[in-house]
Amino acid sequence: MKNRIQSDRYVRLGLTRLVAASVVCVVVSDATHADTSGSRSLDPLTHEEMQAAVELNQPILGLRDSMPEKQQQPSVPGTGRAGLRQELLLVERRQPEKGQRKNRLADVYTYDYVANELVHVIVDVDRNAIVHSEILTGVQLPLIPKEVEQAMQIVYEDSEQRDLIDSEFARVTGRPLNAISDLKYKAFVFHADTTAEGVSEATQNCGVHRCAQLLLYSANNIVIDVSPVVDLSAGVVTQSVTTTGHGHGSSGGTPR
Amino acid sequence: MNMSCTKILCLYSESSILALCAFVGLWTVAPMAFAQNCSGENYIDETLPTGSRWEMCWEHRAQEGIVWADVYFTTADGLRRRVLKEAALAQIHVVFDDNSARLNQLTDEGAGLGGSNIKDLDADECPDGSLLTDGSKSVICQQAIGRGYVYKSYNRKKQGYVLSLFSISSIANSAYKVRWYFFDDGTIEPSIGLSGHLPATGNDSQYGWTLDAGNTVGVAFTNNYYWRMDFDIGGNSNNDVVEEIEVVPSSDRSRKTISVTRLSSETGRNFGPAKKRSWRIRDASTENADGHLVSYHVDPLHTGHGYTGTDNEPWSMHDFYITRYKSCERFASSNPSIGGCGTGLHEFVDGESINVEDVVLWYRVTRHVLPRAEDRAIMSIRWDGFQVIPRDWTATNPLVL
Repeated sequence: MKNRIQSDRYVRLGLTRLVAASVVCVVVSDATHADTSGSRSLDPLTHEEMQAAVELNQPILGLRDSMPEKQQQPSVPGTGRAGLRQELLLVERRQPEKGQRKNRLADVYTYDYVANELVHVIVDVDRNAIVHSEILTGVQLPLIPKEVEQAMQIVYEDSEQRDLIDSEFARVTGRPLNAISDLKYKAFVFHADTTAEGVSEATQNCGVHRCAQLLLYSANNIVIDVSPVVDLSAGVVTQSVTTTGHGHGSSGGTPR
Repeated sequence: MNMSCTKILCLYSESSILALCAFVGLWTVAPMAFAQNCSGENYIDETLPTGSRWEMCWEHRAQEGIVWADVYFTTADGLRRRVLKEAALAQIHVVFDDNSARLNQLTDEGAGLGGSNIKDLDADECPDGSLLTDGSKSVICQQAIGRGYVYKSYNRKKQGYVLSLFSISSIANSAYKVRWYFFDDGTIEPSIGLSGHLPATGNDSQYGWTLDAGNTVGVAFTNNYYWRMDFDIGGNSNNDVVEEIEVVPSSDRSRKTISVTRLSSETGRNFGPAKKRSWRIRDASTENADGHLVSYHVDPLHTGHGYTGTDNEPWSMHDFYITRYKSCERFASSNPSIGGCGTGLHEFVDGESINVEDVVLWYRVTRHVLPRAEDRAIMSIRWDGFQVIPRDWTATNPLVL
């Protein structure tokens, strides 16, 4: 905290000079209405607060999990076959409304792959109570690492995609693709309605379904010109896009 | 007020607290003059060597990275006002020239600028500064650094200082240094530095630049950086006004007149270098000592690269947006449409009044990167940013004491 110490020294020096010069100090402030609601309202959630919020969320998810099988039927055949079921996506402090003294709140987001729904719960961490919950469809938060890995695994095990990737990998690197670890990849949420060019029929579900588009690279960061779209809800590759923007195919894949 | 004088006489005016403290004897000043809504490590209070002071709260969030809140500036002669309620990066939109990918790097990827993507800083990355921690991770470097002359006129001169706060985040191959400068004259400079590896290489030179003796092409790309700044000038957060300022040439271009237009409803605007278009956010009632309304001025000076996206990117049509505050409107694009919130700037702008309201400024800086051989193996850092500067905050230069 060297800097803090220096700062304090500068304050003292400055004020000493002021007093020595005039023995008069003038302070003007317009902050007459400064928000004085609690000293912790903007502090981030602690680990304990996050854990408590997630635990409070469990009964709601458990309730969904224990629904009769008929009610759990996915709206689209194949939904939820990627080995993903209920994934905790995000826990963060909820921004309080301005000018109001409020308890600290947490937003907890969980994606239910069975129903293809985002479960959003607001937890009052001061009272340890759920104050609001809602079910959303068509709302897709960022992917978590587990989902990205799952998407890559689906691509790697898809024979049609493997042929394309093997060929492109050999072309740009001059050697065969031997293992998934030869590839670097990143992924982002894919919405069908944000792409103007060639969206296959299977990809049309993306947005209502949770989908990922993968970007593939060699170990030395040369782009592999195959960018598969994976419907994580259905567990299939729905199409692959090249840098020219045209689909490499739209098999819809085989549900896993 | 958390200031105490051993023997003190205080007079208060109705419009503002005017405390005239006549000291007789010893005095003390407590480090925090007003209640802040944060504590401990999440509260920053820096008095620079010139006497100016910045206070703020911070939070590490998964997508935005570091978010600043309750930002107060105190001039060297002791005038303290709130400037911002909240400020952060609100999107990094990356578009490759070959259309191989269009990324929203705060919301698309696994963790945005925060979470596992924010770097645990080492002490040697923060010389003469302090590392601020979130849990076990050092996520911010806080430094007070010299900035050269504040002014120089004949034999009158002064050296200035700036409070520098930065974090570093890595998203895939890119490393972003997210920096905020808070100057001792009240200027705020958000900026971002891009380094790391080139995000994409290919072999089609019409979309980039050949980098080596072979056929490796660094694919060119555009980074659109969006910042969100919730100005709450003075004590009342609901009475801010936005004015557009233009310098309009006469028909023979011999004279230029100043045009000031108050913006009445939410809008997107574009930079206008020919008319030196700029904007200021001012309070509706708080005045400086000369009776002029206090404000912050956004004067775009670096506008060489522009951007208009595809029809599927309607939020990318303007450089500058002003919206009325809504807590759920956090990202320029790919904003979660939860609770009826819009998905991006194009939906945030829906006709609401911004006249004497709580307003939020969204500012975009566009940078097209045409890779060069020197970007191998690691890109030297490319900086982009802008400044917001006080206008009529004080009646004269507060650093000339």
